[in-house]
Amino acid sequence: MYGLVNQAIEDLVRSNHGGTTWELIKQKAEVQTEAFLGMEEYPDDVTYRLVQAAAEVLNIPPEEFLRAFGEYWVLYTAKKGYGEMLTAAGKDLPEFLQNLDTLHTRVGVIMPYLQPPSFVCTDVGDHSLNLHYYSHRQGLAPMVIGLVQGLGKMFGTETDVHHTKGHHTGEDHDVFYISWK
Amino acid sequence: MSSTSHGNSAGSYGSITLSAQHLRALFPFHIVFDTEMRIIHHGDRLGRLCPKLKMGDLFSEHFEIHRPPGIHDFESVYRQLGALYVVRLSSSPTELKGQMVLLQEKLILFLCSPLVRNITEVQAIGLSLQDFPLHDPVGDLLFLLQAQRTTIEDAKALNRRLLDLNEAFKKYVPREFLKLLEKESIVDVKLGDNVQKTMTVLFSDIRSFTTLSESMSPQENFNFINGYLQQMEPMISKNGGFIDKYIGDAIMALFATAPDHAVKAALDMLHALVNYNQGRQRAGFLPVQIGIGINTGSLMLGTIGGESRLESTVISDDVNLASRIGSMTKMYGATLLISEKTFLSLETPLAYSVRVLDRVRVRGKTEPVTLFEIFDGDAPAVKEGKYSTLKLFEEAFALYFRQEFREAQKLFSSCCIKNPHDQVTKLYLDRCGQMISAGQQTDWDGITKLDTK
Repeated sequence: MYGLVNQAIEDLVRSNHGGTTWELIKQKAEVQTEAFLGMEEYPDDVTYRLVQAAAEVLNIPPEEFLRAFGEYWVLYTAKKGYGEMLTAAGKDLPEFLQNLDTLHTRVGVIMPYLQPPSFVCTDVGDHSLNLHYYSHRQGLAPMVIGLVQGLGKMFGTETDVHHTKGHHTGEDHDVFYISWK
Repeated sequence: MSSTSHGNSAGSYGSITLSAQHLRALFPFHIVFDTEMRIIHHGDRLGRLCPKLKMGDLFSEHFEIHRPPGIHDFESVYRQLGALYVVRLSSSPTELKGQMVLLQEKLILFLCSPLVRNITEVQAIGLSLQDFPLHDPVGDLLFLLQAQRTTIEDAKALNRRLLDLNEAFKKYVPREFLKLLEKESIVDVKLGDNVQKTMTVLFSDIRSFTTLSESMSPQENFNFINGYLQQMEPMISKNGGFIDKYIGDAIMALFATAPDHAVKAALDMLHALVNYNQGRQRAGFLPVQIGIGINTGSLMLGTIGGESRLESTVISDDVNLASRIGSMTKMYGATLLISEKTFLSLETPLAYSVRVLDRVRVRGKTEPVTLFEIFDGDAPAVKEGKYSTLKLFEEAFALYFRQEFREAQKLFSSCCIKNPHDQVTKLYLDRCGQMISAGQQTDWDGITKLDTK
């Protein structure tokens, strides 16, 4: 996972809970790094440990932290200078979701070692679609839910996300039913 | 139109033709021109960059070939088909980058894309990322460039953080200390690093601080100490010294230069104290008094501690002596005492109001030490009193150490009449009295033993 993800976790914790909490989480996660570099590749394990430690320290389920993190990711990437790229990726939520894979493929093209996830939209209607999420990483589905909710907020669109299929239903990938008004 | 880049070499697998519609979709910025350089076809997105563009317009009406140089007509393009072209729009600063492809002997296709270096530039020319076809690497380039900027921003942030840390470390480990250890940075300092150097040590502390602090809350204590130290600290640095450590209200400072600088710093501290006390009194607080001791000697500077907690420090008997001399100021009613080693190393001893004060032996040491008092920092009346009796006092002092106690007593008495508040004179009058009543002693050397630490 690239450092930008870990930076975003740090930024989320720092802005909502302060630097002391962050240091505590870092210590609990046994992460020695002084600062994450956005474009540096870190073992996925670092991110998982941070999420686990954050959930423990903040006393919330890891899924809840991941969801909040997914939502924050939209804000964070915009803050880190990718805002215009997000804007360019779609004028509304459905258009953006349909370009989500292109965004990630571009990242994967220039930095193949990052192995970004893949997204496919099916059953695209006027008020709903199915978002298929493919990743070799386990357990990040709650982050996708947060991400879509974050995008909904970015576009000022009331959005519902349901995790309909996934490893829990024996699928090889996750499917989210997304509806908006 | 043929898909191959150099005309109609269809090959043995048959030819594929691209419709104008496909060409427009795949290469939305392309331009096709004929031998007259008239535009006969172009991509639909190009129209956005160049709204006035019409079929049949001359290439030169809207574009200027910037690279390669010297290209103005069909013939010259034809001769330079292998070059990478940069074409400028006449109506805006936008540039198109691409290659020239000979379609037929009489048509050339300029297959190009706007030259953009960041997404802001894309927006500035009225386009969005989606105007670029997916196969065009411009989108990837923009991501890559943004990734590079992110990396530079990270590096800048780390650099700022490093600067902040260095600034913070400097407050804990003085730069001068590193310089003396010949270390470029705190990173290079190892446990046990040391250097021996002749230096002057200055010790100062607040008289009766314990009593003073008992009447204050912990917060008040901190406020008081910091308020006081803030006044004192600049006097050390401005005279070329640096503070080795604070011990509560006490300051231990080192001077690697001539001891005159330490004496000057001490006098500046006493002067600053007068102002500080005026402020205290205006605020309704009692003034504080300090005593300063200075000694010069060969010191060992280095690091002590364990693996995880290091401290820079100075180890030497001369440091202890400076500290003890500092505490002796109270007994003599002095503000500043210096050892003979400091006195003898002064470059300009005559610049100060100084008198020899006593000979003492510190516990555990065989060598006695002669103490000198510098009273330039005393209150004007006190200074004047000591100054007016200087000659008389030194004569009496000499007589006392020659064991001529009765003669010494007479002179000390005269001193006392002239300057009744001098604590030292009273001390010697007591000593003379004791010696006279005790009678002749063969092993007397007049040296005061100091047991106090």
